[in-house]
Amino acid sequence: MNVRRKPESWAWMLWLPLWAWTATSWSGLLQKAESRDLFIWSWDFISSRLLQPGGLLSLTGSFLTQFLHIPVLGALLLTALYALLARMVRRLYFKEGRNSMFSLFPSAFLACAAMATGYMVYRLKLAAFLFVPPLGLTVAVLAPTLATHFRNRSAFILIWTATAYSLAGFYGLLGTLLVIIKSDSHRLADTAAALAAVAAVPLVWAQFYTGTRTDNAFLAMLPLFSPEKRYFACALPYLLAILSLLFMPLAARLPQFRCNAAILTAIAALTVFCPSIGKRQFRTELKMSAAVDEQDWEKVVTLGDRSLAIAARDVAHGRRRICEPTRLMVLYRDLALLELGREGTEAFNYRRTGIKPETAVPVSMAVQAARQMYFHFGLPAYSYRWCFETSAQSGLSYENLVYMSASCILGGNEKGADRYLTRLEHTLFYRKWALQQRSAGGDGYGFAKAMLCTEDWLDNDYSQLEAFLSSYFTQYETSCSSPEFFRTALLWSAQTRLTERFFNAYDNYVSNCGPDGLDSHWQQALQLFAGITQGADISRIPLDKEQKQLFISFRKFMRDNPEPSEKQLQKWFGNTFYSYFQSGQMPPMY
Amino acid sequence: MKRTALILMAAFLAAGCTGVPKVWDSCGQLPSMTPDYSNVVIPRNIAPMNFIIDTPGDRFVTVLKSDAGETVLRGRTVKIPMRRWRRLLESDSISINVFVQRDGQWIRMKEFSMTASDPIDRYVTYRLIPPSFQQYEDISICQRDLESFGEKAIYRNMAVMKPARGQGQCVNCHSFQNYGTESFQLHLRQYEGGTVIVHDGKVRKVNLKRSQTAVSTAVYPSWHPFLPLVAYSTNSTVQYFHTSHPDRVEVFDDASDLVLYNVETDVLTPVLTTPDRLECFPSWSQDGRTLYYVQAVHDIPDGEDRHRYTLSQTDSIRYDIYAMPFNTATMEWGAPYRVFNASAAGCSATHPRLSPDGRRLMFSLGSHGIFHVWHNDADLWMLDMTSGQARALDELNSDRAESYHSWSHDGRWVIFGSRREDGEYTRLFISHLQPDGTFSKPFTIPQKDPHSNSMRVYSYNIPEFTTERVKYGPRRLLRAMR
Repeated sequence: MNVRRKPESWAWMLWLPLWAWTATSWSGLLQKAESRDLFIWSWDFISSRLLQPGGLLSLTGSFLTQFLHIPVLGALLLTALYALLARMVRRLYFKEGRNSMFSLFPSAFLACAAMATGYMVYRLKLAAFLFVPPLGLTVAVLAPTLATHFRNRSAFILIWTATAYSLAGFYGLLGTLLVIIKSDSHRLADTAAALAAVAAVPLVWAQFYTGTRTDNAFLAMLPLFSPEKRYFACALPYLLAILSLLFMPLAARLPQFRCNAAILTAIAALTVFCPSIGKRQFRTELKMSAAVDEQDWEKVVTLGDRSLAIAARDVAHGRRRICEPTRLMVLYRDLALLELGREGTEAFNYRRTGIKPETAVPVSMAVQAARQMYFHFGLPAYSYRWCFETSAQSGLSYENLVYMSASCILGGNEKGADRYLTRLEHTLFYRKWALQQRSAGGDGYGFAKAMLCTEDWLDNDYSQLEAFLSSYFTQYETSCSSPEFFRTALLWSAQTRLTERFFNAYDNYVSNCGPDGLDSHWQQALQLFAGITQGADISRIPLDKEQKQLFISFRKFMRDNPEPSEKQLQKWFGNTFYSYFQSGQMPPMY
Repeated sequence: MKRTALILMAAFLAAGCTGVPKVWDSCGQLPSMTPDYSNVVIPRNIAPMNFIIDTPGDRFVTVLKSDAGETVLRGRTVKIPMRRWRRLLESDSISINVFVQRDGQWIRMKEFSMTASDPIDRYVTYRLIPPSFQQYEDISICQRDLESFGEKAIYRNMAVMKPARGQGQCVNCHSFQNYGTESFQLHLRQYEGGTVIVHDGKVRKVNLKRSQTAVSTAVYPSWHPFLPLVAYSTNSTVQYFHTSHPDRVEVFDDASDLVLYNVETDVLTPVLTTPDRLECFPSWSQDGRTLYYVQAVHDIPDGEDRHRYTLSQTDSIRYDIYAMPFNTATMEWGAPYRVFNASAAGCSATHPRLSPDGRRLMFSLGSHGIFHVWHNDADLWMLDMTSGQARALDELNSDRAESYHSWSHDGRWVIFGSRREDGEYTRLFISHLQPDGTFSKPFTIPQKDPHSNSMRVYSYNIPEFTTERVKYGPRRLLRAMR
C-alpha cells in the first residue's frame, strides 16, 4: 500500500461514522440548531446580514443550516464540510504526506465543539453556529493557498484582509495570519502589512458598522462566551480548532510521527465522540422537543417512556446514579398524554419528578419550551410573548415564526399571522407549512383550541413556566367548559398532592365530563385523598373493583412499611398514583 | 449607416411603445394596494410614495400623471424613480391610474390621486425596537430623512453592550429642543446606563437618579423650547401580561412624579411629588410658559401594598390632562389646573401635545391606564383650546392602538404611531391638518421597497420631527458614555 495514501484512507473512516452518529444520535441537536436559525429569500433579510462584518459567511451558514431540517442531509453537509476543511489543511501543510493525520485536528475539534454545545444551544447568539466555524476555517485556509499565486505578497495581504474580513469576519483575519505563518520568505514588510491590516481593518469597519462593539469587531462571527469558568468547556474546542490551525506548519516540520495513523484517528474519533458521553437525556429532550413541534405525540410518549423506564430501572437496581429525565421531558410527556387522552392511565406509570438539567450553563425551562407549552395549553398570548422574548435575544427563527403565526391564528389575529406566514413562505422547508396554515386557519390545533378560556387574568410568569401553569390550572376560576381543560386541570392538581385542589379539579371534571369511566390514576387519587380528608364521601362514585382492591393493598403496605423506600414503592406500586404521592419528591423549578 | 438606422428604429419604438394599454375595460373600484396611498394629501418634499398592487392580476401598468409630466411604471411593485417623482411633485396633484391584466384582458382601476401640500419637517427620529416585553437586545434610535429613504442610526445599543456576558442595554426616550438637534437627550438603561445630554456643542452622560427622584431615575422627557431645561417624569413602572385579552400586556406606574433638570447647572428640582397622585408625560407649550402633563388620583389605603394594590386597580386608574404655568423669567411655577377631565367620562388621557400655535391639544385617549401603545381601544383626540371642545379624530383612528404623536414645527403635519396594520407592530403615519381643523387621510411613511413595511419586524417608537439632521454620529455619543 502506498504510504502517502494510507493515512488518508484512515481519515475517511472517521467521516462515515461521524455522519451516521450525527444524523442519528444528534438529530435533535441538528433540528434545534435549524429551528433556532433563519434563512429567508428576501433582499431585506439578505442585505441586513450582509451589512455586518462576516455577513456572507453568516448568510452561507444559515443557508446550509436550513438543510438540518432533514437531519440525514444536514449531517451529510456538515460532515462534508469537515472533510473539505481537513483535505484543504492537508493539501496546504502536508503535501508530502508526513504526519498528515494532524490535518484532521481542526475538523475534529469543531465536531467536538458542535457536540459539546449542550444547553448552550439555547444561549448561543451566533447564527448558524454549526456551519459558520467550519466554513470560516475553510476560508482562512484558502488565504495561504491563494497567496502563492500573488507576487506582491503585501498587496495581497491588504486586499485579502479588507475583503475577507467583510465577508468572513474573524476568519478573514485568521487567513491573513496563516499567510504570514505559512510564508517561507518571512519578509518584514509582509509581516508588518499583515499585522497592520489585522489591527486596522476591523477598527475601520467599526467606524461604519454600529452593530457591534469595537473590541468585538475583531471577533466577528466567532461564537462568543461569557468569560466565566463554566463556559470554558464550551469555548475550548473552538479555541483548539483555531490554535491547531496556527500550529499546523510546526506539525508538518516535525519528524515522521512514530504513532501510526490508526492511533491518530482514534484520538480524533475520541475528540468527536467523547463530548456525547453523559448527554443521553439532553439528546432525548431535543428529540422530544422536535416531536412536539411536529405534533407527533406518540413519538413524544415513546421517547418519554423510554427515558422514564431507564430511571425506574436504575431505582429498581438500587443504582447510586440514576439516569433521570429532565423535568421538561416529564412535562412534554404529560402534554402528549393529554393530547392523546391517556393521562389518566399513563401519567403516573413511572417516577416522574424529573431533574433540572445537569449543566453548568444556566437555562430556564421557559426559554426552552414556553412557546410550545403555552401554545398547547391554550395560552397563545403567553406563547407569543415568549417568542418575542427569545427573538429579542437571539433573533427571529423558524421556531419562533411558526409559533408566532400559530399563536396569532389561535388568538384570532389573522392579520398578525400574515406577517409571519409571509416570511415563512420565503423559506425552503416551511413554505408548505405556511401555505397550509393560511388555508387551514387553525385546524389541527384541536387540543390547544379546546383549552382556550375566555376569562382574562393579568399575571406574570416571572420566567417560571411550570409554576405558572400549575397555578393557572389549579387556582384560577374559569367558565371554560371543554373536557380537555378539566382533564388538564385534574392532572396538574393531582401533581400538587394537595387534597383541596384535587377535589376542586375533580368536581369540575365530573360536572363537565361526567363521573363514568374514571381513569385508573384518578380512581387511585380519589381514594387516597378521600382517605386523607376522612370526611369525603366517595361511596357513590363508581370505582373499579380492582382499584378498590389496590387501594386496600396500598393501605396495608403503608401500615406494614410506614417509611417505605422508593425501591419498595416502585416494586409494588410502580405504575400508580400511590407511588408518586408517597415519594413526596417535589419537581425542580427552573 | 445600418447602425444609425437601427438606433433610429429603436428610438422610434421606445417613443411609440410606452406600455400603456390601448384597449381596456373600466373598473369602478380603487386598486387594492399596500400601503394604501389612495387620495392622500402628501408633503411637497416627501420621498417617492412606492406601493405594491394587491389587486389580483398577471401584469400591471401604473401611470402617474401631473401637470408637470407623466411616468409609466410596470409591475406589481411600484417604485417611482426619485427624479421623476420630483418632477411630478412640481404640480399640486398627481393622478394615478393602475391597469391590471387578467386573462389577457386589461382592466383600468378607478383613478386616485395624491395631493401635494405644505412641505414637512425633513427629519423624523424614532426608536426601532422588536416589540418584546422584558427581554431586549438590538435597539436603535434612527433618524429618517423624509425627503429620501435614508435612515441613519443615531445610536445603537449593540455598539455598547456585551450580549455574551449578559450585559444588555436599553436605549429610549429621545427628545429634542424646539425641533433642532443642537440640544437633545436620550436614556440608557442597565449596562453603562445614564442620560446622554447633548447641549451647547458638548456630549455628556449624567446620572439623573438622585435624592430628588425618589421614585426612579428621570424617564419621560420634554425639552423646554428655549431654556436649558428638561422636564421629566419619574416612574416606577411594572408590567403584567394578559392571558387572553388582545391587549396582551398592561404596563402601568405604581408611583410617579415630575422633576425639572437644568442641563447647564446640573441641578434637578422636584416639580410635583404627590404620593396620592400619578403624574406623567410632561410636554412644554411652544412658548415655554406652560407645562402640560397627565395626572391620575391614586390613593393607596393604609396598610395596602402599593404594588399589589395598583395591580388590582389597573383598569380603574384614569389620567386627566393638567397644565402648570411656568414663569420663564423667574423660573417659578404657577398653580396647576385641569385642562381635560377624561376620568369623568370613564377614560384615561395620555401624551398631551400642544400644537405650535397653541390652538389645539392632541392626546391619546383609552379606557384606562397610561401605556396606550398596548391598548387597542386607544384613539387620538384633539381639544380645541379656544372653545374647550374635544373630539375624537375619527379620520386618523383605527380599531387598533393609536398612541404617540408629534406636531411638525409649523403645526401643518402630525406624525403618529398606530398598530392598525396587524395589531402587533407600530408603524408611523403622517396626516395633514386641513384649514377646517380636520385631518387628511393618514398614510404610512414611504419606503424604498414597500415590502419592508411588512417584512420589518421592528416597531417604530416615539416619532419626533426635527428640521435638521443630528450632527452627532453614534461614535461621538459612544465616546461620551465611557
